[in-house]
Amino acid sequence: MTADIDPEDIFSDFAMEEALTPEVLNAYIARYPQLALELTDLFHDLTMADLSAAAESMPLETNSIGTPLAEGIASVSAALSGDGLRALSRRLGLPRDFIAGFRDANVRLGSVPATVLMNLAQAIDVKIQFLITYLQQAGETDSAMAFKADGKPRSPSVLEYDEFIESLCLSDTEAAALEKLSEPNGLD
Amino acid sequence: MDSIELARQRAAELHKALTSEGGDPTQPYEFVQREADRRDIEVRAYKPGDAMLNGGRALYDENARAIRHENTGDSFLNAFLVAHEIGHAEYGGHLELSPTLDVDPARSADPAATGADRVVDYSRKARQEVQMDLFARELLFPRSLARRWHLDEHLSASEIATRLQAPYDMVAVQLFDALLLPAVAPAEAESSRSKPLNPEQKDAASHQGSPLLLKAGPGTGKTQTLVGRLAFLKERAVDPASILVLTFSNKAAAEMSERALTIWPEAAGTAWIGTFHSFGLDIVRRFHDRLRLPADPKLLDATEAIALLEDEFARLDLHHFKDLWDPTEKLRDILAAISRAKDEVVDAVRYRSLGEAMRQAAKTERDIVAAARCLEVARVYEAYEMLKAARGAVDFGDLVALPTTLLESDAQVRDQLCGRYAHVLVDEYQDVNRASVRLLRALKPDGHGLWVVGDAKQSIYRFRGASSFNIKRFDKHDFPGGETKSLKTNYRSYQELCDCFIAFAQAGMIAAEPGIEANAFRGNSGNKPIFVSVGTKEEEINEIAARIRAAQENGVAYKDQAVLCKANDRLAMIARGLEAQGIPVLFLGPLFDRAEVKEALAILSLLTDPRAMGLACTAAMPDFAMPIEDVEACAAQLAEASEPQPLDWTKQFGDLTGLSNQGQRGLAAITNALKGLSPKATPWRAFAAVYLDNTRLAARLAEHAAEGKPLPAMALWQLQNFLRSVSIDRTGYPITNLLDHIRRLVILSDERDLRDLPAAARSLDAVRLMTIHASKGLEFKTLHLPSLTKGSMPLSANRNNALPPPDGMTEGGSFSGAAALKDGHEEEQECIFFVALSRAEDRLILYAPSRQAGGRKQHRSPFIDRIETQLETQKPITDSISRPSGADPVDVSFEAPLTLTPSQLALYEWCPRRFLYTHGLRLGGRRTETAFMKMHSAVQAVIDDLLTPSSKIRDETEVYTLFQRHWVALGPTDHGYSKAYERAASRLVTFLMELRAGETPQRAERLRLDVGNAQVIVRPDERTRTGDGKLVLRRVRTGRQTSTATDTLDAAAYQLAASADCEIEFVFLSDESRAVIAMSEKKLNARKERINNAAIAIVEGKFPAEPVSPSRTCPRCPYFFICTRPPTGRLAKKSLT
Repeated sequence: MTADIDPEDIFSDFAMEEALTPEVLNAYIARYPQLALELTDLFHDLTMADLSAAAESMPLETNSIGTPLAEGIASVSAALSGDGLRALSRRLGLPRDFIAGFRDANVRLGSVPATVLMNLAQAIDVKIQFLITYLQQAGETDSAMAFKADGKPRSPSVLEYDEFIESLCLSDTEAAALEKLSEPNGLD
Repeated sequence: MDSIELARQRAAELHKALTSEGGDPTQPYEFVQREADRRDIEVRAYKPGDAMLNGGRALYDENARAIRHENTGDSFLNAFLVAHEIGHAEYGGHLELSPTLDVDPARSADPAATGADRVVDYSRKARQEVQMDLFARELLFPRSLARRWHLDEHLSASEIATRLQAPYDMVAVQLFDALLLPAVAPAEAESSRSKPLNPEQKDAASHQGSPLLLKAGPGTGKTQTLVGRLAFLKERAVDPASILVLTFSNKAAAEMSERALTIWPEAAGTAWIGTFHSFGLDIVRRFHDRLRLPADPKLLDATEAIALLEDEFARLDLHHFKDLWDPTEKLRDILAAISRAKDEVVDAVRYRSLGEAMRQAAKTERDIVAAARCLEVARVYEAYEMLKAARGAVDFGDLVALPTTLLESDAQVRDQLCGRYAHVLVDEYQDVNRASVRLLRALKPDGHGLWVVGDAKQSIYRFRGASSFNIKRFDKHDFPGGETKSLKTNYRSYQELCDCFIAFAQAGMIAAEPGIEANAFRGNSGNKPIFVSVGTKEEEINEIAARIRAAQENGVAYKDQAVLCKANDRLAMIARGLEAQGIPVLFLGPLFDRAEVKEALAILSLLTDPRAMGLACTAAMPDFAMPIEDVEACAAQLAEASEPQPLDWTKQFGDLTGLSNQGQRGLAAITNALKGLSPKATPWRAFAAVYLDNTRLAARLAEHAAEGKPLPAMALWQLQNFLRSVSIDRTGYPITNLLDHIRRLVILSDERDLRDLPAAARSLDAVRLMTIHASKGLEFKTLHLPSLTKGSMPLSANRNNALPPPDGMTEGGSFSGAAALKDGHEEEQECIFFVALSRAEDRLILYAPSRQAGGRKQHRSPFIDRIETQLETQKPITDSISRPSGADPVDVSFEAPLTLTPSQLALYEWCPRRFLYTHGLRLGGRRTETAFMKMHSAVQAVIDDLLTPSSKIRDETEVYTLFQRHWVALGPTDHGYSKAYERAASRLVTFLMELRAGETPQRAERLRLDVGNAQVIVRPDERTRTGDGKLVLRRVRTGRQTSTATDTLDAAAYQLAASADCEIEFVFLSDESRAVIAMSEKKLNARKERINNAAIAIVEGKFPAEPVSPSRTCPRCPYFFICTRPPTGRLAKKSLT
């Protein structure tokens, strides 16, 4: 559906948006998931975020990512759930709920620092666009599970990243681990 | 064993393992954290309401192996939330992140037994939450630990709560469970319940297309086939949300839900499985706006409904159902008639029109009265519906009738619900009433996808509108084109037993269909069912005991044997007899008749009763023992106090001289038992404080249970469970309200479910005693069916006290309401016998006493005649026995000669124990008065003044002034309908004045009657000469005339004491009747003998609690809650006048 559109036109449109907010970024990523990384990059560039330096060091994929996308998302899903989730939690020294928050898209994607996303992608050994696409899709599917036969509707609220971290009440050790995850190349 | 008990046992095992590894239960959070660590589960606390909690208080994320819980600020509650979620982890977690919305650390394992909550059954998820709460409680504070701390270390509930930093209620509930419930043997691996279906079951389970009625006789695997139907729908990939399974009891719904979960886990949460009533409630809530009801309408039970109408009773101005003294029973009968109308979807308007039609068609006096009675019911029906509507309330009958009317009249609702449920499965179809059938027809107009199973021969709920008629017309009228299939292989009984109940069905049983058969899968045993004709009822108990023992010696455990009767009264007698012979039985009987329950309520009553009548009961308890003479002295002291307040009595006896040392100790002990409690205490908290904190009463019950007497402990467990769940919405002291509520429950027999034993009792090796109704769906290796006499099986239709419906109301029944009632009764009696016969697996023994207590011959049930050829008649294996002696006499001496009044005689005949309390101990004073009672008090005061010999009041104005004076002082002037009461009261006085018109009152002398060593002093209310010169001795009562009023001992005393030239007249103002006492000489001599016997029995101290009609009189008796056994000691030199 978007194969014939020149990515440059999309970037241009994006840059021309009146208010460059995380919501706008999310809307674009939702429409053009194959350009998620570029759009995120551009967003941070335009909003003076210091993402470009970190992004330069990463192997970027700018081609169409049809089949590899599904595989990539599956990898993210495996890493963010079950055994993968628990292993990742151990490796990062962060609570399982921290990972589960990403698994369930309880955190608003646009509010997550890019470094955290990049380090997380690195930790699970996937390209960042897969992680971003996964997070977007998880956010979309979540609402479908809101009602069950005899349960109360689940809370639809999605947390800002800072709120999410605060609600976890991290211990000192966990806070230190998060700090590391928040630094460029923090996992190196 | 049910899943809740399994979970509890698993939690107890985990607790044991944790403590053996060093876990410390007094540090609850660390304790459960240890278990979480052991399971590699990460635990994290969040602020209440945090988004990570998904709108709940805790959740288990199985995928992450993490528990999130609300930080409650309370370490124990946090631990409880974690333990609850560990329970979810233990039992499979969730398919999705479903949060735990609420927890209740003090949750009961058994649901409420009274009140509206009975209807609201639990969804699969709700049941799972109950299971997890009990799992959590057991993990943190298992019953074994509770017993050790309370029994061995003597820690009270409060001390344990402090040690655990836990809520008091949780500790107390767990202590009650641990101390009062029997230990359940550890769970064994259950054999799979899903056996393969036989060809006829399979054919039924996989039926497609037309509506199906599966006729399933006893033991043919009905439930198995229903579960098979679910399995079939699963195989066909039917959406479980489109399945509706309707049952008739919460128990059946729970079992079905559990079994559905086993074969089809996804269906358990999404298919609608529940009772007709809970489904109806769901529809009422969903479409409340269309029914003009609030979103969550209040559900009225029978007791609340009567309370609602009682206030209106005076205003309704009834004639045939007039009972201004105590309208409870009349209202109960009327409400039952209204409920039956709702079973037929007949509303108040239609009821009235049916009554009007009856009136127009009436030809005889009897028809006219029948029509008038129906119209009075219609008047109450209309008032009742208005009262309910004003309160946004519904009753049980509405729960099926309202949805039925809604579906039939509202196309939108019908489309929505019909579209939703593609498959409707109904269990026990013989129990459906017309309202249920019409609901099914509205849901499934073409019957497609309807699958029902039942057995017309087991239709034993006629009183609530069930009828085999619905089975008969299933495929022809209700669901044309429907098919009928049958299950004929019986897996329960040997062939001889099957032959027996089949022979009964074929011998003219009204509900039986042609061509029935039952082929025993187990073949023949070589033993026919046995019939034993015994002597008296007492000998019957002896015979049952001998045969139970014989069966036990042949390897049939006590718990595999059962005794079934129609009525609880007979069961209670058999239970007492068997226990006396050392045979363990499982039978609580009427809960509020039990001594230990009365003791508990008597103790509670001491908190609010200023006259402290409860002392007469507690004085007979070892912990608070007081001699009877001390109890009398205390009662006398309290009687002198003016306007005493609750608990004043604890201070008043300090200066009471002459109390024995034992009496002083007893008083101090009972005062100490109430330590820290105020009259405002809630019943359950007060009960817990007395039994678990201030005394060792619960501990002692646990010890008795361990010694082989578990029933008292279980009865008290049942009581505390009732106290915990009962909710009484009234002002005043909660304990006073509770006691009033209990009286009402007993009068209305609305406490029947409290007779059920707690689930934990099922593991005890004791003979099961239960009513035939309660045995439905159960089976026993050896079954004893006693008391099959002509008078009791079948019960005569004349003894069915239900009000006949209006002519033409009962669809499918006789047009005449009275005939419809009779037909249904006879059919039901046969079904009851059929159900009883078909419960036995291996052996069946039928018993019939051949002699009544007085020695007269008694015939066996005609139902036995019908199956005579199938039975082996045996002689009793026991000899005749002597009648057990009655209660111990009270050591009492009276001033000679014993002097009595006629009303004392009447009271002794009514109930000797009540006589003791009233005249021997002079307990108590007036009860809390209802508006009716206040009205009667005012009238009585007017009468007393009018009939005083010195009274000069003659003209209407003076009477009116007198009436007004007493009405203002004593009448219910603050009541909303005080004017209606005043009119009624005024009419009573007017009637008395009318009957006295033209008479010349004379001075009424007291009369003396000498009988043996006693004398009866008669004081007529009035001695008067009538206009025609007749001399009349008159007694005036404000109440109604009873059927025996002219035959009683006090009537005889009047007649015997009066001279021959006097006429004796008893006047009853409420029904404006006057009765002349004129017994024949023969009768009079017999009464004189009885007066003499009564006097002798009084002198000998014989005061058994044996009222004429216990179920009717006891709950109305002021001593209902204290009537156990009298205290020991000696009452000396008593004067009764």
